[in-house]
Amino acid sequence: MAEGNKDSREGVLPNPARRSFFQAAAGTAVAGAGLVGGGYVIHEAAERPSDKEIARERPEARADIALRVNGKTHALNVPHQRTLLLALREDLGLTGTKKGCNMAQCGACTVLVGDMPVYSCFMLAADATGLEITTIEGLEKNGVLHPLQRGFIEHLGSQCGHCTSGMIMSGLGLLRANPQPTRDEVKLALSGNLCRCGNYENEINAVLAAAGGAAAASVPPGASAAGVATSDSSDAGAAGAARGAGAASSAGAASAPSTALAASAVDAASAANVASPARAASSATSAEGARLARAGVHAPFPGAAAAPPAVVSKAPGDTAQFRYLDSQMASVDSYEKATGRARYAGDLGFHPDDEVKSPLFLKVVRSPYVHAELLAIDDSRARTLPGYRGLITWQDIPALGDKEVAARDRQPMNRHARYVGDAVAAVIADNQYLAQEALNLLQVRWRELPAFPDAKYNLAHNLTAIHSRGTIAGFGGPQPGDVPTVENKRGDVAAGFKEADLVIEGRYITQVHAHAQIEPHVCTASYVGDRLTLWDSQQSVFHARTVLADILRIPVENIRVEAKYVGGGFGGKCLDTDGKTCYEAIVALASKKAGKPVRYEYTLREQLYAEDTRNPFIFDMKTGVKRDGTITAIECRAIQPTGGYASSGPPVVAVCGEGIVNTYRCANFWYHGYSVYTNGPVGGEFRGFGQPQAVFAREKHIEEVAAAIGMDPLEFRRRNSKRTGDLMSFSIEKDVVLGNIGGERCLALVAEEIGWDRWQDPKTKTGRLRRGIGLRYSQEHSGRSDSDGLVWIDRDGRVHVPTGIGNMGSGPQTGIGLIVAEVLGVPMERIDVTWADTSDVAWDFVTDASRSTHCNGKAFYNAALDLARQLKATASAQLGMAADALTLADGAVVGGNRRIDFRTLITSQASTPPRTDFTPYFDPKTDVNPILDEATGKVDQHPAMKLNAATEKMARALVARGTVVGLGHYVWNPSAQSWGASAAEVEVDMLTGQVTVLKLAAAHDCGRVIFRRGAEAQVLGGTIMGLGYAMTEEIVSDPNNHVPVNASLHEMRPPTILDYPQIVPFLVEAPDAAGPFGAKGLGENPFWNAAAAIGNAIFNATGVHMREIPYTWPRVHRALVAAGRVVS
Amino acid sequence: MILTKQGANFIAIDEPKSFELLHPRSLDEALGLYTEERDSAYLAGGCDLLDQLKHQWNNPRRVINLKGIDALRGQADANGQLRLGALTTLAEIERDPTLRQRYNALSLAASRVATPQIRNAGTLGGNLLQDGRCPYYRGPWLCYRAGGIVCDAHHGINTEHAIFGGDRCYIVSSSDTATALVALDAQVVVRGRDGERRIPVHELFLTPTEDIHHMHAFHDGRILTAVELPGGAPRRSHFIKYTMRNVWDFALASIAVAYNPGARPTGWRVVLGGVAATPWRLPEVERMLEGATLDDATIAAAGRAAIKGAEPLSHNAYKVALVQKLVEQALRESTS
Repeated sequence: MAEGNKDSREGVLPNPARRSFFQAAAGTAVAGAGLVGGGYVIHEAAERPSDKEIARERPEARADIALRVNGKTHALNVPHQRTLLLALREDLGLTGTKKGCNMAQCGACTVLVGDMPVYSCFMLAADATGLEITTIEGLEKNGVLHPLQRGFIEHLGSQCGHCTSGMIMSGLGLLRANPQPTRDEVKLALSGNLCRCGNYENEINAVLAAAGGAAAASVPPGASAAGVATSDSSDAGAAGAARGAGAASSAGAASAPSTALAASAVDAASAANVASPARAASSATSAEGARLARAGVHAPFPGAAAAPPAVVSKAPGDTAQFRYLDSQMASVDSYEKATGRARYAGDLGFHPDDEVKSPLFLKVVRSPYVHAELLAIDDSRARTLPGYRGLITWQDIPALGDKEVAARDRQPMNRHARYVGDAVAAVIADNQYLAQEALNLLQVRWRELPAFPDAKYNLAHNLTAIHSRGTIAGFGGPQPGDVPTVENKRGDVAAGFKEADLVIEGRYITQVHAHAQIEPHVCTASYVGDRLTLWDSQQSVFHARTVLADILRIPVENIRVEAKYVGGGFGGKCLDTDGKTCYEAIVALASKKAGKPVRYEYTLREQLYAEDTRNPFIFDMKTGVKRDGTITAIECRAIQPTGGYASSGPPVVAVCGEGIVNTYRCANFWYHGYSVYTNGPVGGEFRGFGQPQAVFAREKHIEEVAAAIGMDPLEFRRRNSKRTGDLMSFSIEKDVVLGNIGGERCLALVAEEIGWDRWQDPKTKTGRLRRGIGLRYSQEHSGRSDSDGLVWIDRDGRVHVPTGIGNMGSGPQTGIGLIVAEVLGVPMERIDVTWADTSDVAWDFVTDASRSTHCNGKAFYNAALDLARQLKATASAQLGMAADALTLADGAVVGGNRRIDFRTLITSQASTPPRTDFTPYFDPKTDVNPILDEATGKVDQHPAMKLNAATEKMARALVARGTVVGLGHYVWNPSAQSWGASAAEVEVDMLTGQVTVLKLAAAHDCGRVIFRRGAEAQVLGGTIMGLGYAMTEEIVSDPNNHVPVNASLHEMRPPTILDYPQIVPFLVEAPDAAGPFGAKGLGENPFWNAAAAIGNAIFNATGVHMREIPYTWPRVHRALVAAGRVVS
Repeated sequence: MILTKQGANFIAIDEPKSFELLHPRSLDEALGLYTEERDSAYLAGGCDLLDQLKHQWNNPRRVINLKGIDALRGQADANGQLRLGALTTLAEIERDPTLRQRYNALSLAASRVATPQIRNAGTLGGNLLQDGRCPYYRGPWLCYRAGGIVCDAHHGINTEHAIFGGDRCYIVSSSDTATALVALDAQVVVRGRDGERRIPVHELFLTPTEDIHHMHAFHDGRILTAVELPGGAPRRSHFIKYTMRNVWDFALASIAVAYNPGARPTGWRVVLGGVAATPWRLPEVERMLEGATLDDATIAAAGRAAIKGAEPLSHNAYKVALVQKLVEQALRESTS
């Protein structure tokens, strides 16, 4: 193309550093494309290669097909390009089969064709004619669950549950071919199914249980370690399963005799693998595993030992006994998940009983450029398409007020696109194919702008090209480049460094990391008149409602958000600030415009980088230390390239700072963090919220500090660890006194488990394969902000626990049910836990930050106490006994040898005057945040301890119906910190840089174990997800046009079932009075078990510090080469 | 030649454009239906084609389903050779005891492809003829292979690219079975409108020097109908594939070896996968090994010889080390 074309472009700034891929315009544009000077010609995207294709005649071909599914034949008329997946879900309403990546990279859509598991997203429906297809819906026979389904219920086979159907179908394929599989065979059979929750161990045990009968996979008692008490409950699992079945009116089904697949004899090998204490046993390697190992399959498969059950370490002198807590029961939602009945947001619209039928489909116009301005968008060609329903653009978003303009840097659609994937407009059409065609027919003219992907450059140049109001993302909007987003300085840092014997410095770098939930972001909106109903894959329904009300300019009360099941969240589906992607607003506006419900579902690429990601960080760490191990000063300069928008960037920088400075004692520190605008993927909220980055950097750095003074890394950590009663410094608030700390016990447990006494100096190691061990130690807050609790009893005496918590599978619904059970003395069978529908649950702030069991848990604990008080008061009058003398047990109020059951009590409650005071109960000593007034944001004022209006309205309505309602409230207490330690053993190939993780030990101080299986699953799953963060996962953008290069699961490589080593979990109890029964947060902590511990183990093996994650083979190889340590 | 690449909406698209799905019952019928490259596409297991269709960088108007053609199925001994129909699935190969025994490298290669679900659907023919997986070629770039004038990987992220035989394009062969079949001296049976012929597998694939736009010469509508494995005295063979994850991943590097067993093995074939646009034979290593005792010194020398001439790019030097290790490991396995 000639220079003249360049001139004709609309004032494009010179940008020699990059070129456009939109010379991708094939045909004329490309034929003429050529080099201009040192750079490349940049084209506008108006003419695209697909135009030529579109111009060709391409009539939609449809076929009459007969699909045989679960023994029934269905006649369908489908487009030829329809996949089996969509035919099953959207044409037949069989939504038990889940749609995940849609690209044969996750396994969620697995069905059986004949006896073979296949990905239904990669099979054409017309190609499946004449084949026998089995889906999850075909497993249950006459109301009797399949043994696999029972296995999944009894062994917590589901966390979020979005992979469950596919896992079960792969398990079914295995058992049909091999009814007595070994553990390795089960792993191989499930290896084409990703579980992003990392729930693999439970899934394996579920399949083994189905194969071998209940005995084969029953959870054995935890092996005792010296000085560690264990506790186990016996048959609660079966009880839970029965309850699950009962909830769906098929009582007894779960305990019905096994069908054909259940074998009476327990396979010796599988029994040995599963039922024995795996702590000691290693999994027998199957013949097939050995064969594959010769073909390059590497450790940890085959032969990785099963994770043993978590050992629970009680605090010394803790003799508390519980009736229901620490139960091995099934989760409250396991039945729905194991049967495909769980209805996720994307499943809505295809069943006769759905509130929404036949929604329209939406597709978003996204910037293909990393930095560009949209000049014009023309849908005249799309309008010729039958079934096209219109276009909405950034202009349809209600305008911001003057104040908001200063504070907010992002709208759901933006004309000025600041990263690849930025939304500018959307098309609506009758189905997904037409929506795509409409997208292809749009004529979009962009003006490409120079790209500024480098945070350090942008900071050094006070760049205002991305956001005119500033270089840095601040809490109040963009701000100048010389003002840190967060700064926290204590003591005299200069004096501290002067006092030091040694000052150690290092730079640590973390990557862009995608949530990659198995369920894509998806929602359906129905916006009728001024009322919006949204079925969303959403963690935080109440805050989503607030944000939507704000953006759409309608009252909060006019919006209902429902999110019954979320197929993996991890922070990525938490709409808690106006600055997030908020695709929901686009869909809502589309629904309003089209006058019909509209559905929108992300593609995999949208999921991986158009949506917010985990921020990368560049840390410059500097620590002063004395020879005796005393830390005299710490400085950390943290640069966070936040991408095109702030999103959660500023608070992430703040929490990151807490992570950097709060684990170890140090009087003098200076943390200054900069959230810098860049043209790149936007950093948002992701499990840990800045802590994983901080923990990696600090724990790698601390290892170097310990090595520099020649001190044992374990001893160094022990010596410097904060203690109960120390001050905890908050970067944006003020100091608080630390509550009960179980950190040192965590360190001791993992050190013993990994065999710390084997630690040897890296200099002593030789050979091509070298082993090493390493540690990680840290703490984290247990949530943020406030929650309401509401517990009520119906006239049958059943207890209702309507929580505001999103259900992403992390288990707090079950945990809170157990908390209420414990307080009220009511078995779980008589408790109904519900969640996440703004129309009928107690208000909650958000579901994130490891807060649900601690914050909501305490609010419901308080509500249950409030209810208990009322029950006792009523019974007191009837029994003629003082309320103080009464107790609650087995669903009754008991006084001496007399008892009144709840049902009788509630029925007689009519004689007691109904509640008129709606003040929630709380304990003023423990239940108020000592530093923060949520309403004013000022420190040192206790927030108002009152109910949110939504909860009060609900409570009033319930009381009006004659029920008894208990109310509670809780505000996060930052003193309650969760501590944790992990240890890793690795083997490094000094020729290739291949790192094999052989073992991980993880100990978590969660205060109090509430729901044992859920807690274990968080530890194992978080560790596995963190293993991906440590070893493989990264979104890499092309250095020239900055489009993400590896935006697929193939290339991003989340861990599969064959990729994690034995993980040994410990649950440490250091109860904190702030939490319910002492419970602290746990959800995020396990995520950072892997990165630093593995990095330190790599150092121990090789003598080379890996200061950047992930530790991919190429990166470790490069580091070995640079250090001159390659052994060939 | 113009290749259709993704348009501006590459982020938002994940379903195919409309096409006509045809179900021929015979090879002649299928050949008759095929129009031209990018206007027609053959469908077998669909594991590669569906990815192309859903990303809309290959938008044929006509998809010709080969699965109804009986001539592409089956396993038979013919003229002392073992014939595998092109539609034989990878799972069938993986499980077949005869193949495990006689053609271990092929059996192992099939076992290491992707995942159980992919192996259940994916066919031998499809695995051999899959297109390259370079993210630049498959993504929103217009590289040499896609009809452009630059290799975006060369000056971009080339972690998984070629270290041998790169010529403007550095894509690698992703077919595990191809690597094994070259080592096994297999041939393929090809049907075109002009009749049937047999091609040794090692002649099937094209280097970028030969044709920068195609991995093989099947874009004119010819159909690979079968793979024929040589009979005769049993040879031993082995296959090793290095991947970061134990499932799903394409090879970072792989190796297939075959030889006549004995104290001093002969008739060596040493073939690498994932390091060049074609399965990459190492003739010098084969010569070194001919009749040699596989002692430590020989094995180490073979490992060093294997990486001679390797030309790593900016991000893939580790592959040179992988090749060295692969050769050593394969030879050690051969002695055990």
